[in-house]
Amino acid sequence: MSKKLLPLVLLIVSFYSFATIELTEQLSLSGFGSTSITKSDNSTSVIINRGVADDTCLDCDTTFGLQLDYFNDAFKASAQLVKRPQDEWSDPELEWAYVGYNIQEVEFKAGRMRLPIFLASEYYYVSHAYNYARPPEELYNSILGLTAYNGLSLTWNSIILDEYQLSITPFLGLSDSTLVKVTSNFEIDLDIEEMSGVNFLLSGENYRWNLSYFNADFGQTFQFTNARPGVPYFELAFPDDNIELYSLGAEYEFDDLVLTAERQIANLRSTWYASASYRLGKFVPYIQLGETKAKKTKVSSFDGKSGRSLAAGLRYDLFYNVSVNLEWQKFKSYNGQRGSFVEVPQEPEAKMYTLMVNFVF
Amino acid sequence: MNKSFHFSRKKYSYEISYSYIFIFYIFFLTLSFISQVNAQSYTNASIAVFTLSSDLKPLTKSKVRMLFRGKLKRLQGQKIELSDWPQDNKLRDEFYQKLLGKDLAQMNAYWASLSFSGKARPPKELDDDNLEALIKWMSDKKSRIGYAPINLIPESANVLYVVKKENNNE
Repeated sequence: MSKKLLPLVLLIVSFYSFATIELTEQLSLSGFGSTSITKSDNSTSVIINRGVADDTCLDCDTTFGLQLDYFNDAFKASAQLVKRPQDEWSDPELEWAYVGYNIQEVEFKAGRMRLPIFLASEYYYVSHAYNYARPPEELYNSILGLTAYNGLSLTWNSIILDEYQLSITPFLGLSDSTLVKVTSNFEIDLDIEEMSGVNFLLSGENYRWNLSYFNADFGQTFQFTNARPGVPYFELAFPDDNIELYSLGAEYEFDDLVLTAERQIANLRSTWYASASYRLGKFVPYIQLGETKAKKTKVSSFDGKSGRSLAAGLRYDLFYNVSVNLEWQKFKSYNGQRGSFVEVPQEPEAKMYTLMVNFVF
Repeated sequence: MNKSFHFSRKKYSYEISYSYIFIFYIFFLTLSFISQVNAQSYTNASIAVFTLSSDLKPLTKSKVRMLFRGKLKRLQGQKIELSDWPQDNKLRDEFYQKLLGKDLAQMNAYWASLSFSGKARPPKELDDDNLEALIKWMSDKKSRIGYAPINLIPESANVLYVVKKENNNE
């Protein structure tokens, strides 16, 4: 089957697979996906791992995930396989595979899990679950491109005053390695030595507050292939580095109006975004503004504002489990930095147009 | 172990003008308006949230809202299982509109954020659109909770909360 047709077939299938498929009473299969037509007006790609440039792109955002859950009273096992935007269909990523056990209000988990840093970190690939086409780039691509970790976590849930829920999740990650392809001749080999953190999530009737701390020791190697004539390969190693990150975010619902803002401050870069959306029946118009400030690191001596983006879009609930986004987004990089581009662009501005379809089943 | 990523700019030899994108979008909208023809407003009796066990005590509105938002998984020491009607059942839409002020699409997106982050299991969607199917499912376990028009539930049912016909549930 053509790889370009596959997302369309999956979308059509989703119209008929409205709900989670219960294989048995204890075993269920569910899934999600997105695909888009997108284009910018800049020859340098924007958004790492998606890479939208001035050619019409039909698979920059294509994502498809399958989740298998097993529930048996206090015991739970779950696996999620995701063809992320940067993956080929033949090479999806096991985004999580863990076992969990509940004792009263405490849940222990072990295995591969999603990093619980920002409000939408744990459903980052499920575009149907948020109003925008993509999570705000400035924040959600700020942790070295990482979305998952191997390790242990514990979540303690408590109900406060009968109507607020507080979840506290400390987590510990083991060593891991990943290769991020930035451009066709530039890759970053990222080695995480160890990581740890804690997440606090307070939910009320119409709001969520999210607070996280994250710390990781890592090393990275920049690998260049045919970057210059006569030099087939060279690399630059930056070992023994560390990222320490704090993030705070909140989302409030005032009837049909939803306001969201998140900020992260780290020793590598600091970013924030704010967004507003308003529901008008099946339509949800929204705007989103984000900014990145680079900091002096082992890799770069620059310290200051490096990028900003503004998005305006319209989401439409086509069916109860299928949504469509039409979105315009403008990116700007500052001071000769890359901002939200994958590398320093010749022209510092890009306007991007996207039509995206999302579904879950 | 290194993993292979295949991120790069994707190039195609053809161009699609933006007018086609908008035509595509309008096509989707048209399809959707057709699908709304059958989704007319639905008026019926008050809706009872109930169990078949007498173990559980009546719930406050706040607790019921938390329960159906997946924030509350245990009640009075018991792990709870919720049921839902098939997606085209109008009672389901009315229940969530009255209890949480959200339509099916909003609830679906909300549950997607919970289930695809491993935080909660969505309510069990019944295969059959009739009360017998609900009662049969609930009778297997004491901790199972369902909702149905109050005038249709069995007399022996333990009503935990009533979502009233008019939008005043206090």
